[in-house]
Amino acid sequence: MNSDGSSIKDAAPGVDPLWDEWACDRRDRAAVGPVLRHLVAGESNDLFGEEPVARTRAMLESLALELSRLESDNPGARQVDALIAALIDSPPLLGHVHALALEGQIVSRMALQGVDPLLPPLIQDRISAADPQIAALAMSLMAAQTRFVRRQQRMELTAAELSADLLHLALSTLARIVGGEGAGVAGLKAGYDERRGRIGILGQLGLGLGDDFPAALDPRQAGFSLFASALSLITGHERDDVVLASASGRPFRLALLLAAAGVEPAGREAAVLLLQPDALPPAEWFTIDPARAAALLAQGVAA
Amino acid sequence: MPASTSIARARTDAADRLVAADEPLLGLQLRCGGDLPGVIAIPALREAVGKARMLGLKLARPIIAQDGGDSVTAWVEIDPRDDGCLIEFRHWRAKPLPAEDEGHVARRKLAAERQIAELHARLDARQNVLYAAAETAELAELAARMDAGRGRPWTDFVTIPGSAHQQPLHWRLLDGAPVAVAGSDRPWRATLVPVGLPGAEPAGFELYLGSDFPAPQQAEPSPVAEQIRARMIGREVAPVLRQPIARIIANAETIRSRLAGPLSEEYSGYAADIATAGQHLLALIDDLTDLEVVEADDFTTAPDRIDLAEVARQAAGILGVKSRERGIRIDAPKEGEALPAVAEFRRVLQVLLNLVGNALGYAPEGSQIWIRLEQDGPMARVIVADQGPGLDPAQHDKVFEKFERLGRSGDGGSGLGLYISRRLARAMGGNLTVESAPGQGARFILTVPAADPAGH
Repeated sequence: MNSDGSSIKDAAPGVDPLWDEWACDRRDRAAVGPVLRHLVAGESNDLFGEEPVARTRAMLESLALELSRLESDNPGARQVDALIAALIDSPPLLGHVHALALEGQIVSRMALQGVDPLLPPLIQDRISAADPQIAALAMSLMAAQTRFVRRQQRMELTAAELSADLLHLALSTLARIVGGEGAGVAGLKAGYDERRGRIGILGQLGLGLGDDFPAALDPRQAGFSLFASALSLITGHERDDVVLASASGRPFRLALLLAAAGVEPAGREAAVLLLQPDALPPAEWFTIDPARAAALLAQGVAA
Repeated sequence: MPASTSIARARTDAADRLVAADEPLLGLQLRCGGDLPGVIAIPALREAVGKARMLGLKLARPIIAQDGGDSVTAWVEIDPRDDGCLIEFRHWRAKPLPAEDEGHVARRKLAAERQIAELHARLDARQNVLYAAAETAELAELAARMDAGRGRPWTDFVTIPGSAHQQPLHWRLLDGAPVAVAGSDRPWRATLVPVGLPGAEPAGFELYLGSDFPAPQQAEPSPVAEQIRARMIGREVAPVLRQPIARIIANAETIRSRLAGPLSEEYSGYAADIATAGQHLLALIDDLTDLEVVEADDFTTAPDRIDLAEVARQAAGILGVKSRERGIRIDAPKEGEALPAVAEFRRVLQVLLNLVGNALGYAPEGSQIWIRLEQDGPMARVIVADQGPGLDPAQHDKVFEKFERLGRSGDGGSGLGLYISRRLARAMGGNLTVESAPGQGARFILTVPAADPAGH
């Protein structure tokens, strides 16, 4: 019972603010254990390190500012803060932005290992393809990757780069806070095309590789961004999950995804060691049968 | 691997129906069971189109569709307009997804075979039996023979129709083979699972025998004496006893009421005792018949959706005459009150008649008996409370014991009523309990599953 005598059972999601508060509290408490374990165990450098966390926050702030400016040239600080808080409270959006921060981190780390973040060998090869359509797509990917790397350096995120689902989520969050949808939002929606976003281009290029597709499953050949898209396409697992698996200090899930994708054991090991040079994965991780790997991954989805 | 692209264009209307489509999208739509024009039959495409239209945003993303046994990954671009969507569909024929490959299917099949197998044996590399065990009685004899004949090929112990080979065939030929087992009418199937490193020669095998046909419904064989005793009272003794006892009662009633002529008061009293004793005998036969039924292993009730309030009112009505004779008021649930439950009507009535009948026997003249209903989560309760002498805690469980009279005699009870009632309650998934203290009256509580577990 609360002090006013009504029981929490009477509250309903979306109707009663008490309920929402209660849901937040429960979620926070459920998260304490896993997060604390990560931090204390020292595995934090990978997923919850200061850098990806700070980048995630900064990107959401830049997105909130961009969205607020759609409705008003000079949005109030309180409104922007409220929008930032609301965007952070949206798990799909938060998860995606976190994955972007991790991707940025991996791309820049791989540059130190000699993998060109903008023009890995496979993209170079595509740019010089005889088919003008393929070449144009590869060029636009290079441009998109350049913008991505630049934005990552500036810790920015723009709405046009979101998937349609996440854009919708962000815009409805905005509408809830400013109370309606103005001309700015309508203009953004009319101009939006998922195909032109970086992840859209990566998908098109990945699926258009044809016989060269296996090369996209080698991060040294394809660069991390195309590698992540290709692994997501062939296994049917979300791209953000692939990124998370690649950034985790315990790359077992990545080994499973590679196995399920049909990559040879040597290729799996090379990919894991390139992405996680500090990890010491046991050799058995790379000899898992593809069907068993797929079954394990499917269980993970169901759980 | 994805290969060969071709672009198909298509259009949907405002209700997400496909109204125009090029090949190869058209073919996929038809193979998925759709029409043109018609609802989009490719689930992932239907979802994407619906989303694009709802969000009012241009989508471009991969979708995975099933084309026959193949998994097809396609790239779709959807441009939502006012009157429907424009679709561009790039079609790639992909290899079947790893999750659906043969190894996976085989593993699932094997898991099912293991689950239903009624005999499990371990064989050596030459398919000789090392060990066998049966899960069911039907194959127990076969397992015993195999176990006794260790070192011989498993095929010696069964018949493989159409095979006259002395030595077992290659295991791949025997895996999935139909098998006949002496002493069993059911067709059986062998499953052989090689043991050892994949790719290497098997170091041995696991053998499973399973059948797609269920075992014939057969009661557990009971000892001969049990079988003879079973239902003896209900089928043999009761019908024979009932008639003469009924005549004794009828004649005793005739004498008692002096229908056949004047008689001294004394003899009339004796006749009344004879009639009462006869009634008692009849009740005892009924109880013994019931006892036999509820104690049988296969005793079940036929639960139905019933209204406990209605049963309680009927019980009160049936015992109304007796209660008025004793000057006791039965306070049954009011008309309009209801408590739906899942139980067998006549069994619940039987229990309530027993409980209210007992209460009438023990409660003092001029007192009250309450029949109350309540729901406690998934269970519905009927409470019969009286103002009788009550029971002390030591007696709470004893009253439900067979032939327990708690020291009373001569009041027409068999000592079986509460025992039978409790068995009935439990057979319906409920229970019968008592709460009481000496001098406080007794509350007998019958619980059965509620029909509406959520409550009212």
